[in-house]
Amino acid sequence: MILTVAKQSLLHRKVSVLLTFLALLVSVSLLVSIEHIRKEAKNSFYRTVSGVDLIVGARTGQINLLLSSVFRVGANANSVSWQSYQRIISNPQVDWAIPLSLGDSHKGFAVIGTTNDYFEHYRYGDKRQLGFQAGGRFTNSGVNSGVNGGVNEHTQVALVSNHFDVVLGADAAKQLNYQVGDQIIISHGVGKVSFSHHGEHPFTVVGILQFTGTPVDQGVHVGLNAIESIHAQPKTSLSKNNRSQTSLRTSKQAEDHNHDEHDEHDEYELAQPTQVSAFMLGLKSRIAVLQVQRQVNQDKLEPLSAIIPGVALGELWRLVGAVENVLRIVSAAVLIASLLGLSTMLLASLRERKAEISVFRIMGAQPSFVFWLLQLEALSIALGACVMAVVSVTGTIFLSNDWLLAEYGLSLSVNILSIHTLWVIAAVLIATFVIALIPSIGAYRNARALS
Amino acid sequence: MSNLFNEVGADGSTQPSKKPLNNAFNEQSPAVLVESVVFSYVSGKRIIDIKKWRLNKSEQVFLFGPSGCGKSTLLNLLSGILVPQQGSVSILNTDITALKPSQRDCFRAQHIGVVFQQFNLVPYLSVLDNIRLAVHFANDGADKQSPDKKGMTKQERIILMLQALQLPTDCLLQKASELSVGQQQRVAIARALINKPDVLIVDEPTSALDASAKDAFMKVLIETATSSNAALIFVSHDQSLASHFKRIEALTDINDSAALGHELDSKA
Repeated sequence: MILTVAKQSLLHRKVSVLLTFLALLVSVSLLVSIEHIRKEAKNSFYRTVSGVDLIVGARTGQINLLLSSVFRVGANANSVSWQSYQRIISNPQVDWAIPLSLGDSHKGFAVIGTTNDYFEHYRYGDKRQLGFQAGGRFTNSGVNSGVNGGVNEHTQVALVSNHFDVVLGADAAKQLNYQVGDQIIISHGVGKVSFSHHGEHPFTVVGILQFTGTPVDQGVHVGLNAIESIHAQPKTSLSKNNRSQTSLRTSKQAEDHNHDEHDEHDEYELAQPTQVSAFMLGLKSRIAVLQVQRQVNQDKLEPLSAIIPGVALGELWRLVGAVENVLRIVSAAVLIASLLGLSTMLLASLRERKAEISVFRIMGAQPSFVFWLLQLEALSIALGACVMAVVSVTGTIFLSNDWLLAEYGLSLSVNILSIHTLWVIAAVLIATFVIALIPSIGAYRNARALS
Repeated sequence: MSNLFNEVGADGSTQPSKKPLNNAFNEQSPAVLVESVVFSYVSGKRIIDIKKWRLNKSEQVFLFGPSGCGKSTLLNLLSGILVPQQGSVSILNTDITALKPSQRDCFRAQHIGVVFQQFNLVPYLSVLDNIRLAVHFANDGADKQSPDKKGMTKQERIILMLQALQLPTDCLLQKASELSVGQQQRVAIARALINKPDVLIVDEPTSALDASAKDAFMKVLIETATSSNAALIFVSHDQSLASHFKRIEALTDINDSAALGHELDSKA
């Protein structure tokens, strides 16, 4: 019976109920979507890199190194010399290594100089390997790091690619509209507009990676030595510009090299790498992580830093997390404001309901009936708003998923009904109950003191 | 029509669960007995001071009183919404001043019907829901779902009652606020009588009605009250309505502090 009364009472106050409902709907939607995005962001953040035991770079802060190596944000001014790289990966504990040469860009996308080990060993999400949606790996990639047992020596390093191959991340390929087989020009520098734009190094797209939802999607991956070649651009090459753009060719080594450059005349040979920006290590046993980290950090020949990705991600998230807390506070404030609006609406209607309350009393209703009637009205508005919020947020995510993916590389799960969301809804309902105590107790008192 | 209410009333009065405190009574036991009742609001002079006042079962009384003589307060005391500081108010030998508040609410729902001068109905509920709500509150206490011996559903009884009150049946699903004032007052009677109360308290029910509607209303009220065997307390300042009653009393004669108050007022 009380349900019928509450329902009719709400219908009777359609307009103010509807407005209150909308205010609550907006704030609950805000709260639910912020919680959802926060959760998803945190998830995908921690999913960025996995299965990597250590990231090694020149001496710097751990967040710096993480940002530059994993997120391709900023650049570490210093590099790791090739010798140090070789020395560290020859450690018997090292299972595999992914060298990374960073700091270049192609039309705003980060260029990563690496080897095929990248596609072999890099893991994201739940230890998922990178897959190809088209094409494949570098054809005989730059350096065969060949850490098979850590016995590789410089002799193997000499195995260099004769090709300027490029493997594109899913986003990069989509936005630049490149297909496998396309030829592209890669310039030196990070900016979208590069000052030193060299047209003489056409790269061939050999592979396009599958979508991962990580910075890998924005990557333009080239062979380690190809990067070296861009940097080592000799002035003389300008005079050789009359060559066919489609021909794959080498650059002369302007810098001095540890390796002999016998094949200066061989135009199809690429440079030998002299340094890497950072490299990722997989160890044979996770127990060795701290030990190897200490060894790297205490390296006497070169100041190096080794970080554990999980630890660094956690620290970085704590920085980013402050924003998340601000968002939560704002949406909680919006919620409280609309709950106060709900309470105000009920309070305002209380005077006009005085007669109604006296009718209830005359009929033999207890004051608690009036109390629960108002609570029921408030709670059903709030519950309705919560349900509608979940439905509309789900719908919005469902409809905008493609656009978000294309525009921002964001992939949000449509299922927002996690335990977390349910907690949010429970909190909203409890807050509604508490706020609605104001008018409800007022109505109760009215009923009590009725004369 | 009146036959129906006789049956309904007789039916109701023989129901043991309805009137558990009423078994040992003879015909002379009072429906209402007020003894040494004193009432004043928190900070104020005495408004009610009644030594003894009695109303027999099925008796109908016209209480005449000008406004401000404690009329509404007395009705609230009789219906148990207010509790006197001293004395006792017994309805069917139950001292309602001794009941717990929740018991009093339940007792009111089951044994007392009240009709005010206006605002007797919940405006946003349909006529049917208004009457059902009264049934709901009455059944909230001891006897849930008491079966009707005539095999009539509550809805059928409501319809018969509305017919007796000369209300169209199609108004059942209309909202109370959509009815005319006269219709509303008649629905209020139906609502007050649906639980077969022993006492029907009516406070200035005609003040919002025009002369012709007033007469029709009084006729229907007396008829239905008689046929339902309820004791009727009718309070008004309009002495022209006294002709409908055999027992007529002035409130100032019953209420000592009202007389006193008047004296004081006239002195001032």
